[in-house]
Amino acid sequence: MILESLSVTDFRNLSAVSIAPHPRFNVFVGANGQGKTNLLDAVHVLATLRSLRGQKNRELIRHGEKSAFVEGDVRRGASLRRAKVRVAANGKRVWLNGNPVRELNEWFGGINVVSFAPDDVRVLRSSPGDRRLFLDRAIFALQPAYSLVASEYEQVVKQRNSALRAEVVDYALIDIYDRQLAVRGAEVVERRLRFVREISPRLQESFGAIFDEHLGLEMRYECGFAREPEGADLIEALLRALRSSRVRDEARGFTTVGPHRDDFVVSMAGQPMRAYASQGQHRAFVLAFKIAEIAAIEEGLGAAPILLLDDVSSELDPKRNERLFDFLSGFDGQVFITTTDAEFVRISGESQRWQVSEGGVI
Amino acid sequence: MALRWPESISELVNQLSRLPGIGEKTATRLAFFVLDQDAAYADDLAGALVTVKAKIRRCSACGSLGEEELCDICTAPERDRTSMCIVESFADLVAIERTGEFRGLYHVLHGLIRPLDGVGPEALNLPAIAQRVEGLGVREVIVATDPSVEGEATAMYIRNLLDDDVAVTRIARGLPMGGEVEYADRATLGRAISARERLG
Repeated sequence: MILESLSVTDFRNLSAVSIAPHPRFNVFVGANGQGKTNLLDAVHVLATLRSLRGQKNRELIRHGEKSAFVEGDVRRGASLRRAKVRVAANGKRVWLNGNPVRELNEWFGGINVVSFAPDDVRVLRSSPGDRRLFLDRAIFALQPAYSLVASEYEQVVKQRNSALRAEVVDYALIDIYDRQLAVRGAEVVERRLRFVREISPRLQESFGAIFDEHLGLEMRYECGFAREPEGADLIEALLRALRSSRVRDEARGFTTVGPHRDDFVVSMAGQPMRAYASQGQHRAFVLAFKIAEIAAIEEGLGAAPILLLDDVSSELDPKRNERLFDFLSGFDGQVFITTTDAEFVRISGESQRWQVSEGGVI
Repeated sequence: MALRWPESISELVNQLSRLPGIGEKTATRLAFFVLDQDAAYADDLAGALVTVKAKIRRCSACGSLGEEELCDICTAPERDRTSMCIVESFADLVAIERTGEFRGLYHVLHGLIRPLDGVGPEALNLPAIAQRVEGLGVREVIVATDPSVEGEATAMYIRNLLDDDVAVTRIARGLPMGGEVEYADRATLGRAISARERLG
């Protein structure tokens, strides 16, 4: 899958950028704060309708403007589709080949991206919220429909939280939100479990290849409302959990149980990496995870995803950086890389370098 | 120094751009269109705006819009009084009426339950539903809210307001997720009405 053209208007600090990306490597070079990452984020929004960093619509629009646009020509084999997203404070609208898209399933699955950002290296030591974002981003790429159910789930959580803070709480309404959350929350957890199950063997394999050693890597999803979530009746479990946490939720003014509070743990030789792994092992984990994710997409969708690498070399040691570019030279899809220093990017030929400066691209 | 428009033009542009879907560019075009017309056109337009606001009121029975105490549908003898269709807005009512698939009465909520936007059940035309259904002897209630999570929550809330012996269905199939009733084409909406789903 190749992005043949990309136009970005009023997206964060990018006022009007229009480029024809190279089918292989695109290297965006520039100092910090010039808009390199915003370009990657624009591609991410075009693919998933979500920001790389989980930002709200309003935060994606250039200061003083009402809406932002991202538009691109996406080639997949013989088919070429023109995709367009408008981001406004109250929501996003999408067009395919000029026609408004109502059925979002039609949209998702059109463009698959895998992203890799500097913060990813710290994911295991970061907050549960960052870990969920990391996990969810990978699932959006592999199971596009996940985005729909995840958005609906988040929407209901917000409505329930507001209803909990009402002067007079309407318990009949909270009951309804509990049922809506149980159905959607169960699906969110099922999809996360399925992802962890499917990625695990590949993750172990690629981690072993990077580390030249088998350290028994294990990734486990931790579900706050079901101790053994695999095979459990998650709808029933979440419904029960929501009901028993209602008094607490009302006191705190928000929903304290559900997949939006879950987490995952990665352990190495039985010990949680969060506490025991070295910096090098953390880097190896995240690199192995991304390689596993790419392999899963290539197999599942029969096409290489678009890779978005945000300043990753700055966070990888020379050995891991070399390993990354070894992998990339064997990868046959399109890659977008940002860097402050083109020296970090070890690719020969088949690439186009773009200079990014003050929200513009040369 | 940049040219400044006369105060009256800016004011018209400003008022027009408050309309939904109208940005400043379109508002400017509309304002100049009005300026290009005869004075009679401006009078007619202004008159129509004032009249609609003065004359149109909510039907005291169903919440629909009309010029009398009761709307045309509530007073029409040929409408089936045993079935009632609940819609979010008058625009949705008009859209469903155009399909010709539904011959019962309506009930207009004027919104969906959205605590996030400060709209709780009490802010909508919801409490009257149970009384109307009982008073009229309605046996079937069709909830035609949008296929969004808010539309679903509102439909479930209505189900709870009514006795179990009233059949409550919700239109579902045919309408795209995330879509809005008002903008659906007739064929889609017609299919959605005939393939409505039973709730609970």
